[in-house]
Amino acid sequence: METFGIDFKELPVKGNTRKRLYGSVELDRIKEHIRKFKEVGFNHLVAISCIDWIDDGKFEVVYHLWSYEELVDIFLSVMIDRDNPSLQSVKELFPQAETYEREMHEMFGVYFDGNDRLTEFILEDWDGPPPMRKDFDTKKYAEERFYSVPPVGDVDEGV
Amino acid sequence: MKEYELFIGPQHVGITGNFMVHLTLEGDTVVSAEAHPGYLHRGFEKLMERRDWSMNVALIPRICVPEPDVNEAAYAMAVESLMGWDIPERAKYIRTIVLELARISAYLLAIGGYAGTIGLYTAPQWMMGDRDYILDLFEELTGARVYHIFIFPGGVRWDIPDGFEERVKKVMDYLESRLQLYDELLFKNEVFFRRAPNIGVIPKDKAVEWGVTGPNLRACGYDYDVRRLDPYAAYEEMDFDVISYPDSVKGFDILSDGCDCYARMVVRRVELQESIKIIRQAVDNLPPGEVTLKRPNPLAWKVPKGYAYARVESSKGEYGYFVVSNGGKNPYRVHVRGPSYTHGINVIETILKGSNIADVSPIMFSLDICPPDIER
Amino acid sequence: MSIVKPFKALQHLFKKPHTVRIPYQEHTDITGLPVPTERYRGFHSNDIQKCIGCQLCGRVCPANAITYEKFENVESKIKLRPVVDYGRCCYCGFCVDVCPTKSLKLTPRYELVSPNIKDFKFIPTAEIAGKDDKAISMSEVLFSPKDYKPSE
Repeated sequence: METFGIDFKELPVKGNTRKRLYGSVELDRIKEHIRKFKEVGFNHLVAISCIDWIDDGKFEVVYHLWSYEELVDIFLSVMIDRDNPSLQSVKELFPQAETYEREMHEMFGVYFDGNDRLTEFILEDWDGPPPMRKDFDTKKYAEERFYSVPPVGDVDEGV
Repeated sequence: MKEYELFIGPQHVGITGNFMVHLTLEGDTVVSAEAHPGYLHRGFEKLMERRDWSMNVALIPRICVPEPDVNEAAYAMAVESLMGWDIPERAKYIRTIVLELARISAYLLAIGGYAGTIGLYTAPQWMMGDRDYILDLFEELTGARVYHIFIFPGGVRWDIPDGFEERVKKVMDYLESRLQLYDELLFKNEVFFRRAPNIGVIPKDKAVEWGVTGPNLRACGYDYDVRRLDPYAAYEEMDFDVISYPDSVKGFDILSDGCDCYARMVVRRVELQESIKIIRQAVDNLPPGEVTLKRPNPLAWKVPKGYAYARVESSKGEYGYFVVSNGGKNPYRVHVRGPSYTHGINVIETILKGSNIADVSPIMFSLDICPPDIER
Repeated sequence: MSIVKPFKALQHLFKKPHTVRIPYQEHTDITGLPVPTERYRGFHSNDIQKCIGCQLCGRVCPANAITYEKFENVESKIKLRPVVDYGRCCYCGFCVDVCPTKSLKLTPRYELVSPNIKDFKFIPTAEIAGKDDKAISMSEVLFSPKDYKPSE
């Protein structure tokens, strides 16, 4: 299997059977690596995920590809800065990547260059910070915003 | 002609669940379509970061409503990868039986739903009645009818009760006798032959690039199935065929080239028979032994650092869980990859252009879109 | 040929219907076994004398449904016993798996109808487990430790 100069390490697998390989790529070469892997046979984009490492001050974006001929998974991981996150879009190679990028823009605040459809997707009329980041406290937000119902036992008799 | 807009809204008989499609029409023909999810967002990925590894098993089946066992199986396999556990043989066979029973009940819902959109309302009523016998089997084995909470990392929770094998065989004999009735009612019906072929066609050379998986991809002619390409549980020892159109469907007329509503429905009907075959083999060859490894203390269970991904073949496509741990008591990040994420938004917006308005509902039901796993 | 065959479905008009009229008929599965079986996960039952008050069930509950109240005439060192809020319980059974003395169990009884919201938060006792009736009545459950009378 061609590796194009990336140093892959194997992830542990129990339950399923095939190999899973994980490698890191620099920010300015990620799109051409995805294009090279797609031409070799990795033409199924499984998912694009984002992980918030708040202690290091970085986001990690993982592109997951699978090949039906060689039966191997590869994970290409890119580290970007947490204060001003932006990446190039891969919409021309895989049309379904538009949906994954819309969700990451809404939930984490990452900007994708080349995707002109970064509008609201799941949350409606949302005016707070991006909710999936680690410094967003859901309990505090709910207590400040919504009218709270007292627990059972403190209400008056009747319904 | 002038154009007008139509909102097929979140409470509608022609949509599978809570989902909205915004159409722009010119006369009877659709000019453009836009999908609006977001009515079922419950925030599962953020909720899972505040609970322990074993408390999450009670939360996870609630992501996908028609077929909850695939969630439990994928999460259990991902956690076992990180811990390095090998589960006993008897647990693998019991997991296979539970997953195949869930697949049959989800196929009955899908085929019944499609028949309702072309006007045949007898088929959904019969199929919901037959699905009830499968839910009774689940209740005897696991203790609940819909949300089972049975597959746990390390094995399954309890062993099978006495007399369970004869009851499973009786239900399988009953279902096989009903398949002939379904053929006469729906699959050899003249109305089905006129309304299903060449509707909702996905171009064959672009299907894999668009992210189509599961029975929809097998209807295009590719014979890709996760149970054969990346086997899990006890599927390596089972003898079954992978059904693709038009090579492996026997007994049904070939009316089109593939990738349309007719092919998708016929593939699901033939796979019902393969699932019944797998359950019979698993029940006859159950190995003896234990059903679970020794479970750790749930209040002090730490999983080592790493990344893991597990995939399962559900009745709608490829279902996957990507779990990231940093050595603590709670998961650090869980990403759920549902099969309807690609089918429900990008594929629908491209296929519905140029079709008749009466074909919008049959196309959506034949792709089997499940809105809870788009916006978990 | 394929236009006439679907009319064969009309013969089902004269067969026995599939519906089961509960509670006039008994609900069984395809072989005659009455459902729900004994593994069904319904309301809790707890033996007040056998329970030792270790509070593990409350720490493991994923829905935070269990709180505790102090009892008087019990013999264990910690005198707290669990109170379950059935508006929050999800009937998963983790509290049963973790109980060290096996005094907390789940019974196949599931019916409770009441116009008063306070009836849905009660202290389960050992009497709930023995009956066959699917519906719970208010005389079988405790609402406060003062009502507890140790039986012989």
